[in-house]
Amino acid sequence: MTGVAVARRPRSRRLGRVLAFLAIAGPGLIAANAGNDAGGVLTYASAGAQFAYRTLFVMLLVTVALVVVQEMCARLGAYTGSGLGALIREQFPVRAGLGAMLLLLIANAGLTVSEFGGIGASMELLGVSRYIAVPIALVGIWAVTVLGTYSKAERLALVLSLTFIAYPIAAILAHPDWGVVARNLLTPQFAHSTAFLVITVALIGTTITPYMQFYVASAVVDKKIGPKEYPAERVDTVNGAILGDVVSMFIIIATAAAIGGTGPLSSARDAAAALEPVVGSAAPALFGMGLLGASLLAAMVVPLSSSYAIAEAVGAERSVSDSFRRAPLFFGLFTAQLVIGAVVALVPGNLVSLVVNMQVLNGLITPVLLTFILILANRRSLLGDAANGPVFRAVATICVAVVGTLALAVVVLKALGMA
Amino acid sequence: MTSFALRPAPRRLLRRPAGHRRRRQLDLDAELVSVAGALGCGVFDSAGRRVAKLEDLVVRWAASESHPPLVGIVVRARGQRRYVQGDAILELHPGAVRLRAELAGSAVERQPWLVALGHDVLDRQIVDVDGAQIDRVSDLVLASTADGFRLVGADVSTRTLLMRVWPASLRGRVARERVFDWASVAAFSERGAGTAGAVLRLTQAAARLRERGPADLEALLRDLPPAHRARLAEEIAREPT
Repeated sequence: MTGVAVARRPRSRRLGRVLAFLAIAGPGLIAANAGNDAGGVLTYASAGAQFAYRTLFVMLLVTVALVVVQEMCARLGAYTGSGLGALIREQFPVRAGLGAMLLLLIANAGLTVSEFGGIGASMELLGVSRYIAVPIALVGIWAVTVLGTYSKAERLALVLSLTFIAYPIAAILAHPDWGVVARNLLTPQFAHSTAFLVITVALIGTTITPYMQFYVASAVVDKKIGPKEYPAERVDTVNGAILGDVVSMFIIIATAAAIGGTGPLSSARDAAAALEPVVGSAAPALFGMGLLGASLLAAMVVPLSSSYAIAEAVGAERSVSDSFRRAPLFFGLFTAQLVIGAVVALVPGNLVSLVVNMQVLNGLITPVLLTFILILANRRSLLGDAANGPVFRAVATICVAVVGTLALAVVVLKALGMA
Repeated sequence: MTSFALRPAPRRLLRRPAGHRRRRQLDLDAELVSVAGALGCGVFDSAGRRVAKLEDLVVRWAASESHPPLVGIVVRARGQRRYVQGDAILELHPGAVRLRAELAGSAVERQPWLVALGHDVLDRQIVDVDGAQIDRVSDLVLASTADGFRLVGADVSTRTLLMRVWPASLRGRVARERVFDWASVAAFSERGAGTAGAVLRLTQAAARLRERGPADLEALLRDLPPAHRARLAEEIAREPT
């Protein structure tokens, strides 16, 4: 009897740990997966089409940086009980904080347009008109977020994350040479060209975007995750970042195997069409499904992150679980971004220049916000023993410096018309 | 002992009390000074020379006082931070601080009974007992009283926060209609001396939170960081002495 009891105890402890993790999991996974949004899918597909597998090693390095940055944000949320918007207001000069919030709001409003554009494009790949799909998506996202609770919105976001399975399936169906994939993943295979530098910068810029950092910190606070629950949340954040980037790598692998070396792509539709001869008639449906899930998820997360940030900064009520009456600024901002995003995405015309401009704006904000995050996570006066230790601080500083510099580089390249 | 437990009730079912936003307005006919407007202004000696820059305003905090008195200022002179006693101040206006004599200060030393308004309280959270909600401080207001300057009010409006973006000359005015009495503040979050993270300071008005209904208190506590939530819940649950 005793033997049985002893044998069962570790299993029940393991089960307990798994259940504790499942109760906490969500913010990190959702934030990282939302990074694979419409713009992200196009960038990854373009990297695969242009340079085949050669950008996989870059993605490995980007994953390390993403894990470091996201972990710092989740930790700040859990240990201070405040999101990044509130912390920036408390700890930095008011002009710098409000300026950063305003830029974030504008950039996120623009990104929301591209997410609704992604919803329209993906539904057209699945044979549904964007004029039907976009309004339905708008109402659906609004209703779940504004009329539902945080847990319901989170459940929907986690379900949407499951659609990312479409990309690994597409990659496997494209029959890549896995030996070449492994070699490109584990050893640097850089191409000495401006185009390679541009795509590298674009990959970093699309993988580490400010809305992901704001969202993860605010969602941790909204979910009432404190220092006690943080170990499980850290697992969620690290796993989420890794999983999000594994999906990105599969997009690169799928397009590399099908059309690697043929040149950059101009739309996700091009990627789906290019995959068709290799993957078969399932290609548009697979790509469409993945893109739809990514765009829906990001169309919810992107405006939420700026609503959280602004409401935190001005000290207004902010919780997905609140009612509209109780949190008018939070839900008003969210609603406005959604409506503007959906309406602009339905206006006939080319959205490319708008999306490019928003990426430039994100490139300007990213170094500033990453610096804020690094300073906050280093402050012992704020986090006590949970502040960055010397090794983590060094790694995080390198990550932030490299990502920040490259994000600024993309702004310069775009200004020069090279990107 | 009153028990107080946080139940996982849906937030949207939590209603604000009828008196929501009916804060106790500041009813004081005295010269008011905006702390946000004063920070960064010049400090002048008796000869009218600019000798330093104002970095912070320090009040003495005691739970028994509803309007804490100003006891000193922190200035930066020749690259060094110095603490100047309140009795050395002749005039305090949003644009300038005038000293009675030449600048003579001591090294800045944090004491638990002193609160630096700019560093510790501005932009941080306060618990408003009349509105029964958590607010973030956009500005603090000092008034010139018979026994010197005292902290008399707080402004938590977004408008005042946005005004702080403008140059000092445009942000020194106090909008009386947006200022509420500091006596309504039950607790405030401050950086704290030698502690990691913010600490929650309870004021005399904290006892009045017990008069609030459980739904109001639940809504209030849910908006606070975990450590502050526990501290305030403990205070509310404590039997009055």
